[in-house]
Amino acid sequence: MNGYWGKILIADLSTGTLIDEPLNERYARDFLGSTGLAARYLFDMVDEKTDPLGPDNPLILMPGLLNGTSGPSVSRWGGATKSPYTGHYGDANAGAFFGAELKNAGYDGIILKGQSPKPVYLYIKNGAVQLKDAGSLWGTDTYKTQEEIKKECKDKRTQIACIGPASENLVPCGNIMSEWGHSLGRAGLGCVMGSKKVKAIAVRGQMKLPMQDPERFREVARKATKEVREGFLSQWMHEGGTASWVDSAISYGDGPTRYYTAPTMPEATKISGVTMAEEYETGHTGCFGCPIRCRKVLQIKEGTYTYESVEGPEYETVIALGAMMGLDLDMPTIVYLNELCNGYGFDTISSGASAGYAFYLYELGVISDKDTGGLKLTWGNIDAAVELIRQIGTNEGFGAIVAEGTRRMAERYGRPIGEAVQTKGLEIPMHDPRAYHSMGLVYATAPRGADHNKSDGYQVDSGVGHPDLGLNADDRWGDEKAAMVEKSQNFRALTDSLGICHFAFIPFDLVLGMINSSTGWNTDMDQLMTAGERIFQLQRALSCKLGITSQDDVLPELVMRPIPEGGQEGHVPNMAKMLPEYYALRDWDSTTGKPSKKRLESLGMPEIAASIGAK
Amino acid sequence: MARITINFIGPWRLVLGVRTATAEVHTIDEARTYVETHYGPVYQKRLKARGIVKKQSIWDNSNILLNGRTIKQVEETALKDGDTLDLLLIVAGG
Repeated sequence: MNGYWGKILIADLSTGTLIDEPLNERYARDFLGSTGLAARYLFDMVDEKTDPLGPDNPLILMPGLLNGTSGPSVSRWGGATKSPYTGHYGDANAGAFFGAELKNAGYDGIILKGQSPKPVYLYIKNGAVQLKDAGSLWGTDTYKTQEEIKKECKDKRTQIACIGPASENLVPCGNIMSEWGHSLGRAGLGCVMGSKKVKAIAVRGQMKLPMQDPERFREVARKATKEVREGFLSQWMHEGGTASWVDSAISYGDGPTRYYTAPTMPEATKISGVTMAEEYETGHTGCFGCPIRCRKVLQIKEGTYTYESVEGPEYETVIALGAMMGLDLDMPTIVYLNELCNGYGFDTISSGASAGYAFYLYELGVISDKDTGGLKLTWGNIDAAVELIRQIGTNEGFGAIVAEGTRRMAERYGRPIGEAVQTKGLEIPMHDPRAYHSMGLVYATAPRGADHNKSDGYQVDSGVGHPDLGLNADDRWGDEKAAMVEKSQNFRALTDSLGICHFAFIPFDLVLGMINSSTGWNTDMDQLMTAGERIFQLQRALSCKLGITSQDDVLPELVMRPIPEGGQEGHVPNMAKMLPEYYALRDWDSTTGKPSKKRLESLGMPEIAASIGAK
Repeated sequence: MARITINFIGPWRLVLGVRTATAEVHTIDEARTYVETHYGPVYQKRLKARGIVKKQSIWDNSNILLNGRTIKQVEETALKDGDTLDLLLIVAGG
């Protein structure tokens, strides 16, 4: 089996047994890798009764199909589980080096089952696996954990995916972290790892992946690297990083401010990627084999918090931990807040948005100092925000309530559910659907709940388009978005499973060249796009299996209120038009929300159709 | 002739080394010519330094806001004194 090792590791933590199991070749062919393949395995292992924090909920981690190869920007790896944050399907993907290292250590994936009686970490080196004691690591932050394990392994090139104190304390939006702030975030995969008492997975891989035609692969990868290096998006991602989008977000009204009630605050430019580059940048870092190197290394010499060398926060974090609470931050403080979240190991998007909702409720008078433990959550109160974020990390005080997320907060305080800006329990990321109508549809229909990376909505409508996909820039406030969203969701389900970064535009003939020379398949782009659709529909079917219906495909009422001032110019997405059109394209039942039996069968998934009772 | 302000937003600021420029032009189309003439060479030089030889346009790779409001790429919109044009890069991500 070329392009794969043909085996996955099953770690039963209750018994401490470690078993290699053959990779299901049909699953691999149909669902490729990373979140696609992980979702297929997960489908058979969970149902509505599965307790997300119980021993029966598996945590599945898988490299992307192209991870660990010489292909450019193909380092994305992923995972899936039943989310403790949302209660249904949860997945996540991340970059850095872990996926590549895992692949080169001889595995196509890891399934963690059961629960360990004591803290452990898994150590994998070139196909050999050990379960090690992690008692001394329990309680340490994600940076220290990685440092200590590398020391213990006596190998600095060991790559580590770990949890911090947040996930140990079962903060529902706990992340799995690797390197300097790379996270499997959003859906609480770290919290599940914490429930299993697995502090970390350390991998070292120097094995050579079997390939059908390695020479041909190298040749295609070289061409692809040149394309990525010279790509327009790559240039800008290198220069500015994701956080440089802050300045554009101010103009477009894209960055939620004061919990979605005000135009994007112009002060945010002080903590943008452009300001980082102009005043603080000392260099760049990148993921495995990536020529873009979009992440910024900063030096902060003055201010409340100083750093000799630290990675800068990404766009989502800058807005979620800043404008969302109306904070006029300086660079040292946003970096500190980001480091606080990364060290404790929890999601900056959901925690920032939930903290923003707490500020909103405080300003409305719904909650008071009595509820917040004395925190005065008035817009712009930086000290209160810093303390609240810290409390989320420790899962204590008012922070423990905010850590539950906006939906549970709305329920707790008797507020209308449409005030909680989330879909399916997951907070909407920092691209306001009133700035890009397509994002309303993307958020409403993403399988795990609101997810900005499950399509190319705002990218296409910002003007860059996607010529290979036939998607051209359109009016950002148009409502003819169903076809574009459907197609780009399928495409992103595909690229996520292959491990390709969103910022790398690799021409399709080169993507095909890499896949076929690695696996020996003779696939084409039509087949791959069908695989993308298959993966998306599978993830949707899994959401439905776990309780999601059409009633959950809703954009919250608060983000349907127009803001005439600023870059949104008073626009709101026309969900009543877009959703039925999208449902028709997807062939989803308007009541149950399930994909049709016919569509699932045409995608080669009759067993999935039968399992969910699709009609 | 209108005296207008042109703001280079986000990464344009980094690449062109300028935040704001003042121009005297009649129309949007003339503003475009002004931008390409004055800043195009800076952009090409920056691209060349990264090994990219293909000539690229600043204007065509921008979304344009007039006084904070989105405009379509119309060619002959008349401008007046005090107008502001924001040039935003067409790429997005984050």
